[in-house]
Amino acid sequence: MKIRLLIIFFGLFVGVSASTFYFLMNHIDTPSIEHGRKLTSNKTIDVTGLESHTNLSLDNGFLQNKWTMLTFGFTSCPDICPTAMAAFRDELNLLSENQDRVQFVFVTVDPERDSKAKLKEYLGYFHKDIIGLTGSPERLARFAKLFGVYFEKQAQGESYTMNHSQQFFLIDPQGKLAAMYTPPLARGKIAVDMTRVIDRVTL
Amino acid sequence: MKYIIYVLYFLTICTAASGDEAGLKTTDFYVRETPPTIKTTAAYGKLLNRSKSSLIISEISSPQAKTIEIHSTKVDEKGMVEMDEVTSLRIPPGKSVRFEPGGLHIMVMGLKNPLKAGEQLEVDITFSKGKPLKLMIPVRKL
Repeated sequence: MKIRLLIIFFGLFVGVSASTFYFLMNHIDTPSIEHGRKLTSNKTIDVTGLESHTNLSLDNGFLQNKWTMLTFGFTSCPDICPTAMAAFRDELNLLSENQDRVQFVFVTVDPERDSKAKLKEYLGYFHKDIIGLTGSPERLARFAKLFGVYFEKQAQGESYTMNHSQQFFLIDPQGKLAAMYTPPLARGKIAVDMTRVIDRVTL
Repeated sequence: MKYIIYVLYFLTICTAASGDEAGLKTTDFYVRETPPTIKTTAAYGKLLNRSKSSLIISEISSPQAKTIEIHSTKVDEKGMVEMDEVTSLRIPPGKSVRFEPGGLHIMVMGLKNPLKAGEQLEVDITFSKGKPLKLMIPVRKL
């Protein structure tokens, strides 16, 4: 009788410890991403065929060995995009100590009007290190699809606007999607998360 | 005598800061500075209708820009952003509308000159009745 009780208690003890351990492991593993939604993806983000405003070579090494924060937008967007770029500027400034290990990327959804020269002027106004990407409409659409987003022209004559996703995407140093952030985010939240992930992964 | 001067001074400051006109009160209006080569921007602020009847914005323009429209930014559950024009914005008596980032905003298109912090943008608002409103909106850096 006593032995049976002992076995039950022992079993309970093992069960509770195991689940606590499992719970802790999960939570120790995830706190790096606190302000965004963690994503697990095995797909490598393919940037080949896109062009950067600085004429960087865009092979798949572009996303390697760095944490990348990426968003979609267009330069004649008056409301959402300038807010996003001001956020990129602020987070980049907060991350200045780690500037070699992060990069912030703005992908235009309006290649018709956003030339490389225009991207340079626009992004440079916010922060010299923000990288602008462009490409053919078809290539950009395929690229957006990797993030589960799309964009479309909202016809309004010559002053048309573009519907697009507002999310920020975090890509890990292997070029895989790691997390998604939904703005507006209070200043510093992205910098905090990015500092944590940088510190956790030794490159 | 001194007190009267103080009171008058105070009242002057109040009216200057709140922009009182035709039963309307405008607060915290600003327009975003434009990055180089960009001819589009947005203005934000709060418009309070203090009159006893509804006010409907029928026209909005600026001598400094080709087009001004009231737009509403909408984000769907997938995070897709869409902007829709609001053609007749109605402000019920005693109520206010707030133009703010990520929501209702005054969209300025086709600026003739870039807007730099410290400058002003004139915006003329016509209502379906009553006096029109001329706003001098300060330009602010993001």
